[in-house]
Amino acid sequence: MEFNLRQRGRASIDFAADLTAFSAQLQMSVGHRIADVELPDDFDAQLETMATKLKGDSQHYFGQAIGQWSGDQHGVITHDAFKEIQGELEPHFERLRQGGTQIEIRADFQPPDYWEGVDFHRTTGGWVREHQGFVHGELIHPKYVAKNFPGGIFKQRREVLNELGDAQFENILEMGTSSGHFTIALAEAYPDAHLTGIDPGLPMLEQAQRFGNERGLSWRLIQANAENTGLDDNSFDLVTSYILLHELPAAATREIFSEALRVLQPGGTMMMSDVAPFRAMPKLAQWRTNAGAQRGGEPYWREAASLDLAALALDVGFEDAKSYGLGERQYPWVTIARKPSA
Amino acid sequence: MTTNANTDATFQIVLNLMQELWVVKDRAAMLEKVLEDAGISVAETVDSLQPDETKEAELDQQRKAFIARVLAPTLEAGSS
Repeated sequence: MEFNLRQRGRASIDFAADLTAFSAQLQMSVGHRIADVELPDDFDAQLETMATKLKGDSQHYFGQAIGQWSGDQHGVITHDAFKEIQGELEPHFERLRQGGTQIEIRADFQPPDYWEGVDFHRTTGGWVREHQGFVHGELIHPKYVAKNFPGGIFKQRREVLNELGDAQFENILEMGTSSGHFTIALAEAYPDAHLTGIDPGLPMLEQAQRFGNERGLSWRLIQANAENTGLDDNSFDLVTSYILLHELPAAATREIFSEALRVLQPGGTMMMSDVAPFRAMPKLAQWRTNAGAQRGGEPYWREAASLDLAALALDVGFEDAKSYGLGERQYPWVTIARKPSA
Repeated sequence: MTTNANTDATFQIVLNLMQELWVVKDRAAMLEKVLEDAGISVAETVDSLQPDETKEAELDQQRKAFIARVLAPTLEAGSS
């Protein structure tokens, strides 16, 4: 969708993105000083050790202060930028509700209880705030996150599909469709496949619908929880997600793997891409990840990154399960498993 | 200076920011006056104007320099 931000919104988002880039210099400087710190195994003890070590460290303080500002303000700035142009966007929203991509809303739908009171990414209202899909999909992702996240967030969504080799799929279920950026990558890689996307957040699906209809594509989008999709047994040959699992309690991930197994055809593939587990990181990276998750509105990251996803897949009934990181940064962390053929 | 290096650096940031902001406010006010005197109303035009590639690159460079200038004390600060 083509649109122009107003001067205040445009300049504010650009400022927030460049401020984040600046804070990376502070983090790097602090990183040099703490590279040799001995850390305990326990995550809480790691946080305590580093809090003591960095007490009074001004660069750490300012890095944290900038992080606090960015965490608090990026949602405010982008929603304000949206409001400045909302009137101009409404006709486009109306136009993009028409087309082959439609959203099914079930009368008995209830959002997951672990969403209650959680503002993911410290954005007020989390994934159910009105217009969060546009704000996330068109402003935060491309104009803020993409400017600083290493590796290219859209490129990564495309490249991860190379891990599936030459396999072709006819019926794909995406769990946690959100605003549809991975759905676009799936549609590009498998243009003849029928795509179904589920997500509990209706404002997010509304943006995915716009992306789908804008491209003339026919995606079936359903407001549903991945633990209980309500979809038929043995109805998909690929079940996949991108950057969903770290926002789930460990028990929910187990349920979701079981649900993926149920809806997959015999011999079907599950591929989930997410953050690296703690066991694949040095202790300093474990501390940095936990500290970042704590202040970044990620209440379930610690338990999610403590899971062994390949072992979990085997445990619920998959076979040929493997789990590994891509590239030097080990991101995304890919888990691929197959439903037994018989 | 206080005994708290963080407080000192923060105050320097506030002063730098005030200076930079005032330069911008003064310039904007003078620009509007010049243009209004010439019979051109600019408020709405500025609000909806999209920078072309050259202007965007220029703003990009200036914004990074602005952030680096205002927040320079945070890079210079050591442990208190």
